[in-house]
Amino acid sequence: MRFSGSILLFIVFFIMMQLANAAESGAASDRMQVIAENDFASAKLRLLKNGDIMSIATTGKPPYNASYFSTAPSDKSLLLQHIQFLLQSAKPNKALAEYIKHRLPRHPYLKRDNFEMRFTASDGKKYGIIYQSSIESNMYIIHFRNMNL
Amino acid sequence: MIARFIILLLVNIPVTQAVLAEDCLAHTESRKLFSNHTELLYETLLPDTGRYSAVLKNGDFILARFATCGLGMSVHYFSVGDIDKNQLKDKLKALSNYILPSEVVSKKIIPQIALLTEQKLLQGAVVNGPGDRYMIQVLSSDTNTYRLHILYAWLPPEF
Repeated sequence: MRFSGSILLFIVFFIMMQLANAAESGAASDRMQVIAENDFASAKLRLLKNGDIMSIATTGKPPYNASYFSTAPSDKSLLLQHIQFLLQSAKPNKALAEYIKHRLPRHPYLKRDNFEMRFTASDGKKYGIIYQSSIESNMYIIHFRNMNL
Repeated sequence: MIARFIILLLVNIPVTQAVLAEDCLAHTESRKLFSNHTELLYETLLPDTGRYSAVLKNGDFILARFATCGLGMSVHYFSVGDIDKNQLKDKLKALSNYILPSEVVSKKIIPQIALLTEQKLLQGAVVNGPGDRYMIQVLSSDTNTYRLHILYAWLPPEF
């Protein structure tokens, strides 16, 4: 009886954790909501609810070069969310969209503070992602490069 | 046993956070910096996280971070295209008027900017305010759109 009570409590705890996780990821997408957008000569600028700024080049062909600027550091999962959000805004083709959804989350570089990642999507097209952290000055920048332009 | 552990876990989380918050004896008051700029398109201030963002009509943008625990402020100005070497100091002087907290500080800092060499600005130049200091650095930006990145950081007296 005591044993099954513990199991029951554990299940309740597990469900609560799942709910908390769901609420957290919901909050994350809410923070990344676009609150203002403007088109300039060569780029589109998006201001997000969390204060971050995205710049998406509008010259050349999609997927467009794009950058994500933040004054807050990210852990691996938040960094992944920022990169995915940035690349979705860069008008990815099917092969790139597939890469960022399925293969990017497993990339070991995502744990690093600074990296220069190059990858080839399933259609043979090459891309680059650069991440630069400056802890002292509170600046964290992600650059996405289409190397086929 | 497990139940006790879970209860401890649930009870402890908020307590730890409250203790951590009390450890911050000072925080930096966040404020809007470019409200008076004639070319301001929009700005947003998030006092809870100390984050400030502003976008100007030409596409330049500013991101600043005020320390929510302790003293600190760093302001980043991203400029569309290059700024001519001769115009760089005028740009820095103009920025100072928006970033610095008062006219007293501006009057002390701006004459020092006039004396800085380009070399010093690239390395990061420190100028003296009344009792505190500021670090100004001109960085190149890696994007085609944003060619220039200016860092303007407050170095409070404790540093």
